[in-house]
Amino acid sequence: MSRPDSVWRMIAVLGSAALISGVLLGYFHDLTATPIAQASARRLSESLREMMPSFSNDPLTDAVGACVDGDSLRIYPCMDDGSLVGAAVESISHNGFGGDIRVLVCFTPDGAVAGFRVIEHSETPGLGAKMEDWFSGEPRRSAIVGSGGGGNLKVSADGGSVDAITGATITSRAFVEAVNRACSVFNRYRNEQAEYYS
Amino acid sequence: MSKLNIILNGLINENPTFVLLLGMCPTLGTTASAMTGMSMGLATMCVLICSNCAVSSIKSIVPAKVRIPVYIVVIATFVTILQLVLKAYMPALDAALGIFIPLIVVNCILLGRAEAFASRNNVVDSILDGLGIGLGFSMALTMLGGLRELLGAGTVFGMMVYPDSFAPLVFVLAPGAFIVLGMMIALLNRIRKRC
Repeated sequence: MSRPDSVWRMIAVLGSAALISGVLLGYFHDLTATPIAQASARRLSESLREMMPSFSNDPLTDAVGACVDGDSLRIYPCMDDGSLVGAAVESISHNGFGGDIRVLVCFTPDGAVAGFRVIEHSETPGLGAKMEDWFSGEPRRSAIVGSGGGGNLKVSADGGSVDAITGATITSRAFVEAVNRACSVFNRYRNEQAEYYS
Repeated sequence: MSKLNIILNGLINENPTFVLLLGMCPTLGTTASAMTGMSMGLATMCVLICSNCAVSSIKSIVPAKVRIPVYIVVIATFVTILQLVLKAYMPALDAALGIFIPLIVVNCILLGRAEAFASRNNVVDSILDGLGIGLGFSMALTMLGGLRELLGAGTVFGMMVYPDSFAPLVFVLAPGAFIVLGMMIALLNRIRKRC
């Protein structure tokens, strides 16, 4: 490299580095897409088995979609002997501190929250990232679990009954929002089912 | 420098954590337990070997003025591939390390070794350097994680050593990371001075 680097040479080298990287990433994305989908389906069905009373159907194949404010949420109904024993809603909030928060919220057939699990988030480690442990601890848990399908839970900072994580109010609000959205979706689903069978 | 010396150099003389003090963010963030510390070290080692190899083989065609952006593209590509593979085949590990996997891109050990070693040496030596530094980093993170886990939770690799009611929780939390790291650096400096 005795002569000074020309602009074109720099553009060519950086451009081809980016191109090769893009091709490689595309290839690996393709290669891992199916295993990633399978892994997340497996995690989902494990969570359902842990949180739900025993069921005999496959909630993942019986899942139905429901729209709320421009998002399509999945509802996983759990049946045993043809009757609904509970359902889970995979809910999402776009208002997390680090992006989307996905929460799996389980319901009893009469519309009360039975449990929840955070599936995916990119919140700050040590603060928002501990939301699942935080909201599973008392007295936060009992403020969420068993609450009816009204879907109007609020964090304490907004005058509600759920204590927010200190230093991570935005995360807490987003988590509660995801639970609320799940409630409203499940309520609508329950009403539709009731109309259908009556 | 002989081939063995390159590896030993990364493990001891230029240990990235205890001597160079590089990559402190994942060092402090992922060493709450021996298992996560070791996984983080090994993940970083994979990327480091690949990026050292790639940087060394393209060093003669990359103009000096754009070398840093090119190195970052190379490193980011390998990190993203690693993340996809972990998500697909080891989802539990991916969940445990979380945000620290994509953050390997900005780990200064990788750019540091690309700039200081791989861009000046041949491919084989660069791979060995990646192996040595990577092993040094993994060893340091495992030791640090093991010690913090032992002091803070009474376990090592999840096996109970003593009941956790005697364990001061501070060692598992962030301040404990600084305390244990400082102690270990002091101890190793003393041993190295003696030799």
